[in-house]
Amino acid sequence: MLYVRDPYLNEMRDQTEYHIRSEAHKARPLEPSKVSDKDWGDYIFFFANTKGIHFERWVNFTGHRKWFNVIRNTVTDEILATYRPDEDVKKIIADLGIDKKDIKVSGVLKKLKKKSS
Amino acid sequence: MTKFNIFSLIKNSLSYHENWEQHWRSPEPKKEYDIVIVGGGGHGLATAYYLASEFGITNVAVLEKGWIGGGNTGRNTTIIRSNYMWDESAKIYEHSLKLFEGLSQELNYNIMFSQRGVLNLAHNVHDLQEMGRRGTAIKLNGIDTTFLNPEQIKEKVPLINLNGRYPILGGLFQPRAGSARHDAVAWGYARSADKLGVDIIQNCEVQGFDIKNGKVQGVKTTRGNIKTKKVGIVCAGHSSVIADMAGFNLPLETVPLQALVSEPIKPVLDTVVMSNAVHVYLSQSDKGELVIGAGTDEFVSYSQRGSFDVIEHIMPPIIELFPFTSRLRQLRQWGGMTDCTTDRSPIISKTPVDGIMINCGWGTGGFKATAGSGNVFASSLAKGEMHPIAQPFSIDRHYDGYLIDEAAAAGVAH
Repeated sequence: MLYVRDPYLNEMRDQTEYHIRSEAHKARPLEPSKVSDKDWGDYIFFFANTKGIHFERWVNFTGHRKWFNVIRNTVTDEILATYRPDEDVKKIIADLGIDKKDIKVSGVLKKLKKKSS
Repeated sequence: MTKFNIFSLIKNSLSYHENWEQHWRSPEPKKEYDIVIVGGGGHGLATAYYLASEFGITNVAVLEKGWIGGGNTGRNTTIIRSNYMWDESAKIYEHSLKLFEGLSQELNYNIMFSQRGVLNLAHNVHDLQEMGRRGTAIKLNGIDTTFLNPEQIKEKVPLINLNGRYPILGGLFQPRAGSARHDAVAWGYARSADKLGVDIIQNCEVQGFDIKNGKVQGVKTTRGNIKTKKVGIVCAGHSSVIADMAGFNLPLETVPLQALVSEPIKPVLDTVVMSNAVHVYLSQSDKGELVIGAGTDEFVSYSQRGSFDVIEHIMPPIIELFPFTSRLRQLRQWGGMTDCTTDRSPIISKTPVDGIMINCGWGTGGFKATAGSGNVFASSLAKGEMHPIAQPFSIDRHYDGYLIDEAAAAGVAH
């Protein structure tokens, strides 16, 4: 069971108050009707499924019902950071000192990774 | 290889059972193999065995990062059944069940396959209707299944409480289903594959692939580079990690699934009881422990352990259905990493890399498919074309929409 700092309440809360809803920073195609079956399939079904530094979306379902993101190490289950979607993820990654090479995500950060490397 | 029978047992008893030969060799990896299997779990070993026994391909290596039987093969709840709703699933799971029925004889290894039946419970009208639909579909596929009323259930499982918080209204029973000793399945396949010439290489971690012009040329491992033109990836929870090395992505999320066993008690339950509605999944091992299947965590994890709230969640319904368990101590609890697809059906498929095939996505229900999965995957690797039973389980179903939605059909208990 995980114990997490809720970035809206800014206090430690129990994981059982939240649902964890898969990978964060996966950009939904702006016009789904115009993307190919391949791109749509990639968006819906394919995941980074990272062993290591993982970005995921959490939602509170017992109280404020808001979404936020969590950076967690999936080998140790250690939570490295929690942040609201409007916070600057690049700054958080830099502050944590995470090497860009260790980031594997199928969404926006992939582009970020490519640009910086 | 010593043939296991009453005579070899007597012979070895004379030397206090100290001179049984090793089950399989521990060879050094060769420079080149016809086929390399990544992952020495049940499915990988079964693949290697059928490659050798059915297709005569014996220049095969099984690469295992840890040791044989140390991963999910030794962490599941050992249930074997084939009562799946969709035709595609019915074919592969029934294929597997049929192979299991003759496996002890075929491998000359007692896998302790006990066809004690699996009972699914219905607790409300919706459950009954769903069961009617699923049961009829199963029957149409020629798989044994019977509907039971509450009196018949009480007769079969005398210690069950029919009138709990969610009363039992009926059940679906598959008599040919049951359980087998999971370690023995892996050991039996490993021993027989080894005898046929397959190299089982333990403590050998795959670290990358040698791919030229989209074709696989070899595998890089902690024990040197191995040349090969064909690779079969069969590594369950770590499939995404291995696929990443080969440069493609998979429609998988790896989540922990837990199980626990109680202290051993006298025989109280001679079938397997499952309830999707209240989440009960219970059987009794030959040692007398009650084997309880718990749920998965919601989050991706490679930690091989699960959350305590999952255990908390499954205990109340177990006590409600079987009140005698309320003072039973739980002895051990553990977690395995399950590679789950969105539709909860496996992936047996070609990949974007020529020469690499993958068999993964068995999620929370892979043990029952060990024999069938290995058999059809071996055929696919040997012929270079997917076996007809495996064809619907292609990765491409996530693009063309032909999903095999067992997530809804089978409920939680796999």
